[in-house]
Parts: sequence; C-alpha cells; structure tokens
Amino acid sequence: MACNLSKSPTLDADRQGIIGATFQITAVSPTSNAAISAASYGKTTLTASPYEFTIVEGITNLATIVEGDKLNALIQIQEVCTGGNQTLRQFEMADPDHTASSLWIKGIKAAGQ
Amino acid sequence: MKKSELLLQSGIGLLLMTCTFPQSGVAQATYPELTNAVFQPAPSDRDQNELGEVIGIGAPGALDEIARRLAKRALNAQNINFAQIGESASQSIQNGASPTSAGATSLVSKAVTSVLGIAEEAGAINTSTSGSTTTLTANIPQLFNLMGMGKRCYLISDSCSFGGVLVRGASASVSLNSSSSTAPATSGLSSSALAALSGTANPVFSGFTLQESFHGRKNGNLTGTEFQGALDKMNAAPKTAYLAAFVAAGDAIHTQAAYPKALDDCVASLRNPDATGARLADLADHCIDSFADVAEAVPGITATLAKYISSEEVYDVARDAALSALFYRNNYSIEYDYSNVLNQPTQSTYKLIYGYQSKSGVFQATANGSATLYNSLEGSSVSRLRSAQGAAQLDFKPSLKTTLQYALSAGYYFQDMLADGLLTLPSTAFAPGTTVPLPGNASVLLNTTGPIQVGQAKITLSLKGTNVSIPIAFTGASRTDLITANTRFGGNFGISYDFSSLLSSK
Repeated sequence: MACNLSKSPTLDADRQGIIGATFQITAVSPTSNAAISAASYGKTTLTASPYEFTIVEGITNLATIVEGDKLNALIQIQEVCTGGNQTLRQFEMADPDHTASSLWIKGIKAAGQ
Repeated sequence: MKKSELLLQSGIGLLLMTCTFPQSGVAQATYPELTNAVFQPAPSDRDQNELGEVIGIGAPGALDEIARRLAKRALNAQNINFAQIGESASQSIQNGASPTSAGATSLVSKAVTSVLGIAEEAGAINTSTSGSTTTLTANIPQLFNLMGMGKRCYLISDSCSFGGVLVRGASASVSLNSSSSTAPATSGLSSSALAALSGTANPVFSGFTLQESFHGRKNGNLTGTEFQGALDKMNAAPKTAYLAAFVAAGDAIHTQAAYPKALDDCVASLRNPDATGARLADLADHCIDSFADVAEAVPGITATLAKYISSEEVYDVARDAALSALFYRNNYSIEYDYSNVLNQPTQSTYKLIYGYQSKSGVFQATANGSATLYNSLEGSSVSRLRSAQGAAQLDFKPSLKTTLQYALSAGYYFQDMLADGLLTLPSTAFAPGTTVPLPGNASVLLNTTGPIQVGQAKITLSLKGTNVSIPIAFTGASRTDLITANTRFGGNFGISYDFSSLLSSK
C-alpha cells in the first residue's frame, strides 16, 4: 500500500492521515535486529505482527514498544509502503529498559468527506 | 506524617528510585538524544517536526525523565534526604528493637518497611507466601539499578565488566516462618530485623538461598524472523499493561492546554542561532523542565507515572525472560541453600545447574547435581554429608501445523541418603508416638539411608488456537517411604486452562 501518513504541519500532532485509511508499521535497524513487541493506536492494541491500524478521527496516540538485540543500535520505526518504507521515528537503543515511544497522529477528512 | 510514609503514599519514592540520576547536565541522558542527526544542521535549518519528536514527551525515555524530575522536585520541596532514610534502614536491621515488642520505637524499622516497600513496588524485591512461610526474593540487578550503582549489563549487551556479569546473574532470597508451631526453635538472628522484613510479629528465619547464574556465549546469528517471533510469542499481559500505562501517562500530559505552547517554545529555542554546543544542552534541559512543569499540573500525575514505571519494570523482566533463551542456549548456575528446618540441625546445600535450549526452542535440557551437609551433628556420629542428589529433564515441543499439538517430557531424579535423618527434639516436645515429655533437648536418628530413584514421562496434548491442555504422566519410584506417592508406579492426567489468555486484548 502507499504511504498514508504524512508530517503534520502543526506541533499538536507528529503525523496526519486520512480517516479510514490503514497503515502498517515495522521496526528496522541497519546494525542489529529490530522488532516491534507491541503497539496500540486508539482502541486497538496488538501484541504480535503484523501491526496494522486504521486512522481514526482526532489526535490519537500511536504507542509502540520496540526492541533491538544490540546496545546503542540505531532503530527506526517505519511505515510499510509500496515502493519504499518511510521512517516515522528513529532513536538509539541506548537504554533497553525504556523502549516505549509515542507518535500522535491526526486523523483528517479527505477532500469531499 | 513521617517523610518515609509520605514517600510511599505519594509514590514519589518509586518514581525516584526507578529513574537514574543525571551525573552532570543533560548530555549524559539517553533522552533527549542530542547527538541525533536532527541537531546536526544549523539551528535555523533544523526541522521543527523532527525536533518536536526527538525532544517531546513521546520520545523513548521522556516520561521516565519527567517522572524523575517530578520526584526530585518533591523531595527537594520537603527537604528529604533519601540516603539518610537508607542509612536508618540499615541501622535498624542491625540494631533496632522490634516494632512489635513492648516499649520499642518503631521509627527506624518503619523506614525499613518503607524502603522495602519502594523496592518491592519497583520489582527489586518480590514477596511470595506459601502457608505460613513468606519468601522475599531480591532482584539484585534491579536493586543495583535502583541505587544507580555501576554500569548496567543488559541482556543485549555484547560485552560487560566482570562485576556487571556478577550483578546481572545474582539473586538472593530469604524465607521467614510466621507460625510458631511449625517454625524452627532458634535462628540466631535478630528478631527485630526479621519482624521489620516480614511485617509480622515474631517471625522465625527458616532459610536463605544465594544463586549466581552465567550465560554461555551469546548467539550472534539471530535472524530478524527469530527475533520478531520470540517477541510475538511473549505473554501479552505485560505488553498490554505497559502500553496502557504509557498511553495514559503520555496522553495526560499531551492533552494539557499548556503542552503545545511548551513544545512550541522549546522547538523555537532549539532553532535559535545560539542553540549549539553546551548552550544546546542547557536549552534541551530547560525544555524538559518546562514539560515537567506541565506534567506537575496534571491531577493525579504522580500515581499515573508510578503505574507507568511499575508496569515498565514488569514488562522488562518478562521481555528479558522471553529473549534470554533466544540469545543464550547454554546457561549455568551455582546455588547455595541454607535451611533452618523444624527439629533438625541446620543444613547447607550446594547445587550446580545446567540448562540448554535449542535455537528453535523445540528442545530443552536441564540437569543439576547437589550435595546437602549438616551444619552441626548435635553430638551424634552420623555423617556430615546428609545426601547427594542428581536430576535431569528433557523437553521436546515440536512446532506443528496440525490442530493437535503435543509436547514430550522425561525426567529422572536420583538421591542417595548417605546419613540417617537427624531430628532434634526440644525439651518441650514429647517422645515420638507417645505423650511422654522429654527431659531436655534430644537427638533422634531415623533409619532413612539408601538411594531413591524417581522417573517420570509426560505427554501434554493441546489443540491449536485453544488455551486448554491435557497432561498425561507416568511416574515410577524405587521406594515410597520418603516421597508422597503411595505406589511405586502410577499415572495421572488432568485438564488445564490458561486463564492469563483472557487478559490478552488481541
């Protein structure tokens, strides 16, 4: 599928997308194995892959727990897109005991909705 | 209200202890990551969205840092010196009077309870009770983490110092018996210390265990599929609890009207021309303080953050358990048990344990050997070496695509009772099987020498996609006088249901 999340023009959210569109996320690292352990968005909580969600109205927390198998590895949370994934967040796995992070996603209406 | 009680009631102690103190400035912190590429462009060229993501409260470790700052503010406001409380706790264990005894001062021993309570909530000490026995198990790595001592040796660390490895593999537990009718007569330990530890009147020390575990070489050839698979198979309950608490805390702050302005101001400051070098670190530090200001105004934020920190600890322990077998196929442990059993001399058991798990997790093997010694012979001529034991178990659980799943298990246990059982009957006891009171402490030898062998084979059947399993086991024993079985050979089966699956939201 095509990328359905784009940067939010305002700081009240990190990303935005059309209400009703779906998006799938994954974790990658150029130097280690990386994987999503669990993720939640709105009323949906997933504890095993694949991590796919439907964009809902309003500003909603996309929370992820991401793990890597090497200390200080660069970890990227990406949206899975046809033709190339896009990175939503990246960080160093400097402290494996604090691996949860949030992105607030704004659901917006499509033109004509 | 005493300060230590206030700490517990507000949850501030938990927040404080579970977050590592900064050593200097903000550069040491894992949050925010100032070395991130986001900060490398010239200040005016920095992307405001990326700055917001890296410095905002959604970044990894951000809520932990905010929790730490709130806790520190609260302690500073009340002029609480945590180190002093810890010192009082230590003194009360050594010298303090029992809080349950007449005329005793309970001030310092309550500090002990408070400190233990904080450590317990943070997962550094676990308490379990079976019958009248309470067991306190210390998570040594977590205790060191709470105290901010040394560099952590994480499960995923490729290289650790020797001290780090020792700390990572260490565990200790103490058992206390609160029932005077079944407790050993004497322990030689301070009753005040035991009462402070257990929170009950007149507990008796019944034993302790020290264990040190070592991993074999780390498996460096993991595939992404194996790594993801191990996390997918992990119990869902700690994940969902962690996420729920994380979202609750994050949303509580993010929805505050003051947060967007604080983030706006922060991002603007990080795009100012002077936002470089040490000044950048100061500005980032100020940003976090401003987020902490916003958080401080949220009603009930202390409890919300405490719940988050606590659930994070639980998740981390469960994750390490799930990944440990994947990273390390060979595991070794050495263990020392000191037992203070009713009417018996104290005994010491030395144990060696080995565990192996195949890369796929299909095959597991465990073996252990141990020797038990009497610490005193009570004047008898019995051998000091009480017994020697050995045990091995093999488990095979193939990964099948069929609806009917099975797992095979076989175990064997051998114990050679080298010395007769030695009972010490106190002067208040009766001679065995009579109502004749004994005039004084007496030692009795039981004719219990000889080998014991027990073997068991088990198959566990289950249906894929259900939480029901049916274990069927066959057991054989060479003698029955010292085990609970009534016959030398027997079989049993049962039906079990995994109720924890009901907690999974998927």
